[in-house]
Amino acid sequence: MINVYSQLQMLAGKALGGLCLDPQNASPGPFVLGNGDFFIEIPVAYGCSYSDITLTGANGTAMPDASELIDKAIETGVESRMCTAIKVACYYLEAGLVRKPDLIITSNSCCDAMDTLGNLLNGYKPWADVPKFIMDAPHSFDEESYKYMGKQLRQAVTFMEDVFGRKMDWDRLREVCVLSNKQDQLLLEFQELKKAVPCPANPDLSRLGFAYDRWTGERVSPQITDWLEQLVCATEERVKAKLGIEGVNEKVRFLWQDLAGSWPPGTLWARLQQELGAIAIMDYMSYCTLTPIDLTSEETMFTSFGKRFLLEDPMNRQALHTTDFFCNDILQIVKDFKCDAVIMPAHIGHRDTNSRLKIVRDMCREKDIPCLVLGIDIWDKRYMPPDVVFDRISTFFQTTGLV
Amino acid sequence: MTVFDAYIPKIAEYVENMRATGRQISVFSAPSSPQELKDGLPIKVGPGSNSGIILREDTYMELGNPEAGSCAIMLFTDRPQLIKDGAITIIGPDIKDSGGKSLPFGQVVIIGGTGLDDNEHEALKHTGFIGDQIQGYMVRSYTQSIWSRVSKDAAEKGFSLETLGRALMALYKSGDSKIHAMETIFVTSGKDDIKLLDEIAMQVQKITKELVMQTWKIRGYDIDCASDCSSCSDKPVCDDIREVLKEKKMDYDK
Repeated sequence: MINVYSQLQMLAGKALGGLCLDPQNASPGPFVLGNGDFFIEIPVAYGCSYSDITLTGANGTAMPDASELIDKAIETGVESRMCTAIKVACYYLEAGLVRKPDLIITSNSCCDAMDTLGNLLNGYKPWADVPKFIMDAPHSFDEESYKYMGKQLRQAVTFMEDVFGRKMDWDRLREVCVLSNKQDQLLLEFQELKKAVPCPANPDLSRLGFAYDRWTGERVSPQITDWLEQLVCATEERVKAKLGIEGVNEKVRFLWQDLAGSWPPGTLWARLQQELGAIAIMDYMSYCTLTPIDLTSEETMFTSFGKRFLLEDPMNRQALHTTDFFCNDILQIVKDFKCDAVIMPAHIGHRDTNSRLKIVRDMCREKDIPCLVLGIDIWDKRYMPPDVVFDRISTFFQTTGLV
Repeated sequence: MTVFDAYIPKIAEYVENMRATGRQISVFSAPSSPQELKDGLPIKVGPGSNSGIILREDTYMELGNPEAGSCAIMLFTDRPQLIKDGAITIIGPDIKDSGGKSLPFGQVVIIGGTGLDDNEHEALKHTGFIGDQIQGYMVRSYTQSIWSRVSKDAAEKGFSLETLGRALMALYKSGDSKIHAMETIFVTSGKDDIKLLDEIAMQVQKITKELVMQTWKIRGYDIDCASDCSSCSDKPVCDDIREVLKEKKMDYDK
């Protein structure tokens, strides 16, 4: 039976397929390429494409020939413990598979690997003549930092205008921001619904909704609003009826404190749900903390953009800031969403997170929160196969008495 | 004396300025013990008092939606005599006066206890994560300030900002035995008044940041880097890294 969630998943999944290399290369209009999340409302309002090569690399790891791609990437000489998504992106670039952009916008956020990829893009000889705009993301979260980042995003607009010889339509940007605010409110609404016990819908729909909203060809469009509205309405009904995820007998709720990666949701999380009743309530991307864009003036708008970029963009939030901030997020999620345990996947490429593992483990022990550290590659299942990961998590839940 | 002591008079000054500019101000006096604070409230207070969710259709009003204005401050002192224990000050309209419309929201919590010191900050902050502990009141999972919902049911039962103040006092006091006195101030009078409060909040945040660093240093994590490379003991490591990068770049240029 096809229910509303399956339909929503299919719609979003189809759009997310567009993040792969070929569709990205076929993006319409002026082609802007970057190494991470640019403030997406800007290209949408400006009417140009924006391709995030990190996402293209990450999507490569979900392709049928992923292993071959990853091996080829390693052969290009990138450091072996670098994040596999970035390795694939590097390979795409070095192999000349990425369409030559009209403009490159990079920043040093949010991790060492993405910074390296940005440097590679900026130093790539065949694209020496491509105009480049490089942003500096401060590792801090205060008003001064938001203004500093906002000013750079404003300068990026001027740079785009100079390169493409066309002005930004400010009314259009405002319109896009109004729509974006509405969509963010819906994402936040769905997030609140995940607090219900049992969890009323697959919590991974948050991640899917975010990706669909921010990254796909349909980004910040009315279709996304409809999608999110349907998601929230259907889930509200289930909360009222006190229903959990269909076909799942919820026993454990856990925080997956990392990105979901390309293989864990479809294989590992699905199996954990079915066989153990264990639900991944939250991950980096589904933790939605978006503040509405302040439309009072151009300056407040860009300061809001800066804040979102630094503090609310998934992984920027977790990787750019202090360990104290990272730990506080864990405690707040565990309390608000009634998580029984914390799983630190310790993705091999996330050195920022991995440097904090002991601190997180100690904190969890002190607060009496069961915590498991894995040490997997979220983009390459060969590093620690899904069955092994499943067994480790299963044993952890059994020994802690959660199942 | 704690680092926040200087800010307690500033908050009092803010309240007086609001009074001088003719804002509607109500002051309530609540009892001291957690049980007395809970007695007579129209809603339940304590773990599991609600499901943690108030649906859109069950919402009477929102407080502190970022578009309306929001700000939260927590101060603490080891000199409880600086605090009017049980005082709940409301600047602006109360919940029943809102007609179900969203209100801007400023929340100031001032805590006093002779045993409280600067290291208590983290524990007090976590005590402030309300979660499911106030019936008919949901704090959204939004980390910057307080953004909350009051349910229609709770509003009908008479949930007011005084109720909220008493509930918060009961939760803090039962969560930390070192707390002897507590005062709350709520501001709903307008976005501009929240902005003024936010100026104090930003200064408090800077101090909080220092406190956090101090707490981590006590735990043995001091990651401050000397700004002058020539005096840094890690300079040889950084030099090596730079050398490797230079060689890599030369290889690449070939």
